[in-house]
Amino acid sequence: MKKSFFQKRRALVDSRLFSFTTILVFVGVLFAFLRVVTPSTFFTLTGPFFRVGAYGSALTSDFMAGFARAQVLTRERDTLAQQNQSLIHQNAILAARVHDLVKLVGTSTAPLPAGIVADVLARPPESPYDTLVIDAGKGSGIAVGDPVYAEGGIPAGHISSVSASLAQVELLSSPHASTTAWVGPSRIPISLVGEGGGSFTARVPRATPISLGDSVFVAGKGIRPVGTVVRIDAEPANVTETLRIRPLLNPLSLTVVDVIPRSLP
Amino acid sequence: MIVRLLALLALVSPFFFPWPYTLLLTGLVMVRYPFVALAVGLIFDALYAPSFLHGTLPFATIGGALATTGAVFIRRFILTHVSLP
Repeated sequence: MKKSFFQKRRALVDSRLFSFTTILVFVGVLFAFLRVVTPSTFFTLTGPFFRVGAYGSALTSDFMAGFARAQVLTRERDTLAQQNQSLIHQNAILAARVHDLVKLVGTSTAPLPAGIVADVLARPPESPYDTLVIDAGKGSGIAVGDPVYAEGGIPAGHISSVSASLAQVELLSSPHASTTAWVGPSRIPISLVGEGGGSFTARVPRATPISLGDSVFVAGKGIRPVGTVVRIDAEPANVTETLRIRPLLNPLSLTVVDVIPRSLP
Repeated sequence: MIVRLLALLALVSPFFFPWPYTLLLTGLVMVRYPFVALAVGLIFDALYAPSFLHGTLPFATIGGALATTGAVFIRRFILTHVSLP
């Protein structure tokens, strides 16, 4: 039997659909409301979910690692051991050079003060915005604006929001985030712009002496490397060229970060 | 019932899964519950937007709202013009 137009339209406002839809929208609005009005309470409430998520990720990773072939793993371990040994030698040579140069020039890169080590509970690609959620908050002495470093003292970002036991980190590569930096051996100042996914770009005037492979550093306590120039895009009509910068830090594999409270000397 | 469970999974998935999987899950559920896209967008921005309502645009919420609008119209069209069993 052919249904009338009116009857078909009524199917859209089915009461069961409406009630479940209301619940869905209510949950979303509640999240947003709590985040805006009481961010601290919001992160306190969502903390257990993040911890369960991080635990689940670790379990999955361990489980999947069990399927890797033993021979491949052994070969990989041997290669890494060789590389590690080689890096230890290189490090010793560089340390000796630095020691000599410091004696001659009288300056050195300031070591980072001991900070607060925090586990990363959520990272890209869970987060589409290049932000992290870390397992430390006000209770550990963290405040908004504190710089965050990855392993090896590589600058990662800064604290953008903090609750009692969790904090949100905005990475330097967060879309449209801008950071003052230098590039190349002649320390040319640039403004790093985050492109998401851990990558950066920067615009410089044409014919600036920058070449592929030049390191990019950011200011802070000492000069810290954040990436290298991998491509220079120049168009004949433009007076500037765009540097594509590959980061040293892979935000997808960050497991631990170091937060240096600004209150520290 | 299964779709409702999937909808609830889509709501909590930003905590556990990479965002493309959440997007896929939301896309599947959206056929039955268009407003799930808006809800998931709001949750994404609440959890991960660097400065929610203080500068950067809440792209996930905007995307969710647009997807919901599109899904409502598509669903309306299907229910009005296509005879479902």
